[in-house]
Parts: sequence; C-alpha cells; structure tokens
Amino acid sequence: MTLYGLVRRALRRRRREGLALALGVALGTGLVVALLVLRADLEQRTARAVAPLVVGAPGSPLQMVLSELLFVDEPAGRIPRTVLAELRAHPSTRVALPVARGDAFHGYPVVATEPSVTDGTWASLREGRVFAPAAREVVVGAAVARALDLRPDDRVELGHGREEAAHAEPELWLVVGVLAPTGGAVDRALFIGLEAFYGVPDHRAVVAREGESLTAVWLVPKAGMHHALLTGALRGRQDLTVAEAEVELGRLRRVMGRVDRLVLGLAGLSLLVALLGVAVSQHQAARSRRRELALLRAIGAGRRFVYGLVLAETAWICAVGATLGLALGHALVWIGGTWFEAQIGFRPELGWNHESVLVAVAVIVTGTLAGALAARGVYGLDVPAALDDA
Amino acid sequence: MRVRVEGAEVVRGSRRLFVDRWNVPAGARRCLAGESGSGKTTALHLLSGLLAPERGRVEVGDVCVSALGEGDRDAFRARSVGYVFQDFNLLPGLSAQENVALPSSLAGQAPAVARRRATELLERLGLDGSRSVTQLSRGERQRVAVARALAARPGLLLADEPTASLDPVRRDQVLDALFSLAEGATLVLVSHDPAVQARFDERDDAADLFRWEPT
Repeated sequence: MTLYGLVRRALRRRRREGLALALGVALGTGLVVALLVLRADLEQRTARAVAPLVVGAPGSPLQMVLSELLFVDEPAGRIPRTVLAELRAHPSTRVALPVARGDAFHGYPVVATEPSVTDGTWASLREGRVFAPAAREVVVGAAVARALDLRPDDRVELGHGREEAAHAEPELWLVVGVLAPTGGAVDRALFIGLEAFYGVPDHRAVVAREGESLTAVWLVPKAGMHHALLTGALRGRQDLTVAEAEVELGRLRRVMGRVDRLVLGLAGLSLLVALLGVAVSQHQAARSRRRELALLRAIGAGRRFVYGLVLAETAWICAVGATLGLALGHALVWIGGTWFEAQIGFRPELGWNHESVLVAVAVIVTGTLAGALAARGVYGLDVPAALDDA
Repeated sequence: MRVRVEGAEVVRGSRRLFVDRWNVPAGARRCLAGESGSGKTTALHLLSGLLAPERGRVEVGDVCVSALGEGDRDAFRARSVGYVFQDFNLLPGLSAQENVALPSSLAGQAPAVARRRATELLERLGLDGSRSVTQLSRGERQRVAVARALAARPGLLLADEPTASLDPVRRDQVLDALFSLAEGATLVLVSHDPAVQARFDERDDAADLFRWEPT
C-alpha cells in the first residue's frame, strides 16, 4: 500500500466532503477562468482594428470604431457616398475604402464595399474569388465560413438576421470566396458589392429618395505626418466624424480594465473563500483523524509520510477542483455564447488561454499550501496522547 | 532482540515516570502486569521509540533507541517493532490484507512482497484477507492486528492489553496466534488478566519496575 493508495482510500471514505470541497473550488476557478477566457477573446477582438482611421456620420468616435471597425455595435448614421471621392483626393490619404453596413446574416454583419477589400490591405482571399460589384455575390470572413460551414458555390439568404423584417422576399446570394483569417473583425463579416447593396429592392427606394450613402470610410493615411494632417483636416468638418482606432480602443480598454478588475476581484474572492473552506476542512479532518494518523506513526510511518498523506489529499481535492473549474469556465463561456451574441453582437470563441492554466496551477499550489498550514498540527502530533484518545 | 532500560525518565502530563532498570532477554516472552496507570503503556512507548526519555538509556537489540532522533526512531519502529493495541486500531478503509501489508510497505518492502507476506500470515490464522476489516468479528480483527504487527518480521513485538476486550475463547485464539507467529521475536505483552498472565513463564510487575513522581 503506497502513499497514493492510502490517499485514494482516505478520499473514498470522505468522498461526499471531498466532492463538495472540490466543487467549491471548481466554482471559484470556473468563474475566474470564464472571465479570463472572455477577456482574452475581447482583447483579441479589439487588438487589431481593420483600419487606423474611420470616417462616418457625426457622433461618438468610440461608437464609430465599435460599429464600423469592430462590428460590435449598430451604425450611428450615414454619410453621402460623395465623401469617398473627397477623402481619396486628399493628399494625405493612401487608401480609402467605402463601407455600408446594415443587414446581418445569422448575427454576422453584412458589409457592402468595393472588391478592393480583398487586396491585402484589409483582407486576402483564402479560396474562390472576390464578388462582382453589382452581382448578388458574397465573400465570407474566415470565422463566418467556419461557424456556418460556408464555402464557394453555397447560396445564402441575406434577408435573415436583425433586419429580416425589412425584406419582403428572400434574397439568395452566391458565396464566391472565403477570406483568410486575420484575427480581426473582418473574420466575422460577410462582404458584398456596393452596387449590389444599393440594388436590393428596399435599398433602391432609399437610394432614390436620399442618394447613395455609406456608413463609414476606412482610411489608411500615408506614412509620417500624414496621419496627423488627415485627422486634423477632418476634425474641422461638421458633417463628419473621424475616429482614430488606437485612441478609441485605448479608451475602451481603460474603461473595460476597471470593470474587468472589479469582476475578476469578486470571482477571485469566491475562489479564496473556497480555498479557505478546503483549509478549514483539512484542519478539522486532521483533528478528527488524530488517532488514525497516530496509528500510522505507531506502525512505522514517519511524520513526513503522515503529513504528506494529508497534503496529498488536499492537493488531490484542489487538483480535481481546478480541473473541473477549467472545464466549467470554458463551459460557461460556451453556454453563455448565445446570450453574448444577442447582447453584444458576437459569440466568444473558446481558445487556448495560458492565464487559465496558470490560475488552475495557482489554485492547486495555494490550496495545498493553505491545507498544509491548516494541517501542520499533524507534523508535531503527540502520538502516545493521540493513541490514548477514545 | 534483547531489551535494556536504565535510568530512563519521561514526562507525561504532570507526572514523571522513572524506569531504573528493566531487562528482557532476546527471544523472551514476558508479561508485564500491573494496575491501570502504573506506567505499562508508557514503558511500551519508550521501547518502541514513540516516546524519547529525557534521561537514561533505552536499548533494543544493538540499537540505543534513546539516542536516535525522531526520524530514525520512526525508521527503527518500522523495521524492528511490531505493535498490537488493545482496541485493534485497524484502518477502516482498508481490507484485512491491506492492513497487514501496510507495515511491510512502510518498512520499504516492495508492494508485491508485502502482499504475499500478508496473505501468508492471514492464511495461517484462517482469515480471508479480501474482507473489509469492518466486516470482521472482534476476535478476527484482533488476529488481523496480530498479523499486522508481525508482517515486517520485527525483532520486538509489543502488545498492549491485546485481549482485554475479548471473551475467553477469542482471547485464547489471539494468544495462540501471537505465540505461533512470533517466530523468535522478543514479546512483551501488557495485561492485568490473570488468565493471560498464566500463559507466560516470565512475568514483570510494573509496580516493581516503574515509579511515578509529580513534575
């Protein structure tokens, strides 16, 4: 009978208590892991904006970045398509791309733009070809293709989604290409031609009434001072808003960081309470098992062996709790994915998150140390006195 | 293994136990008799190394137990001492065989060897090793405890009132088991039961050997 065998038997005898302790640890770990996975996903989504500058209708620059570059908010307004020519003519502009958002397909935004969206500046094709400007053709982002199992020659009904009610008849569009993954918002969008977008019956009426419009223009300035020159020139316009992606995302991260730390702190607190529970329980278990532990000493077990036995039990409980917590955290994100999608427009993706693994390891180490402190009386056990205990 | 105690003093609670001189020859079967609280159990703890004397010498075989540190006393106990308690003290989560094999494992024997030795001892006692100790009768449990004490082939076997809670039939079975399995080990058995004492040729009286004084 090895130390492992004794630990296994001891835990089997205390299986209800051990399971309850492990579940407590799992719950605390799961909450922390879920938050870390979500945070990593959000950071990944906001890490790389499609373009350094975006120009749109007057309003909040942050909202414009969220809606037009990250696709996690609704467009705030529209600007005339003629603005595009102005921006392209500006001496500081290197590239400008028109964008018209509106429809959604299974929660993924449909973005009307020009075929140059696949020229490598914003995205590249992985397979197929780019859409023709006026044809009912669509190029899908890598994440959309993966999630909806779309490939060239498939047909999709772009009337579905948030604006389904606006369309009386289904519109079948041909998938002609799939984009290579970029790690950014482009992966989660579908792209169609602007002329095709304006040609949709409902849109035609609006165009006839108000003229061709865009929700934004993505801008890449020339190198050097041109970024400042371009933003300076556009900031003077009353009819436009220019947003610098890095500035707005930095602001967003600062706000998110505070909330993030608060929520993580609360989850960490629940984890701490669970670990404290393990320590208290191990302390009580060590007290109630004094006679049994003394017996082991009497038949030849060293005090390090007996102490190791109690430590190994604690480590095992924490390890089971931490492992369950890792699974629970990811499960929470997966189960909550639909809710997130409905609330903030995207479904968090589960991926490898080394912080989660570090949390799990930290839980095992901290829990074991807490148990070690709580059960330290075992080390100095008065064996004859404990054997005399009735 | 011979046992020799000289001028040993140990404090328990508010009292100090003195053992001026006590010798047990190697291979002897010695009954230690005496009233409750006369120091019998404390004396066994001294011999086993569970207690270290503040003064004096405790020798078992060639080992001066009183000069060993705690870790070495643990190792000495695992290697050289078998202990039978009054109330069995078997580990409840383990089978009879696992209980018996435990001291051998703690003494460093390979698990397979320890299991084989346990099975052999239990078979000699007519016990089924696969049964949980909670399923055994009191007499069977104490015989398992005897087998456990002898599993690591100790040179010194200590038994503290091993038959106190048993009826006469089971008492004799346990004593038979002790005598048949001891195989040359020195046996020191504590008992105040005259029927048990009668089974021994040699007897020590705690009142003659030990003396308690307040600290």
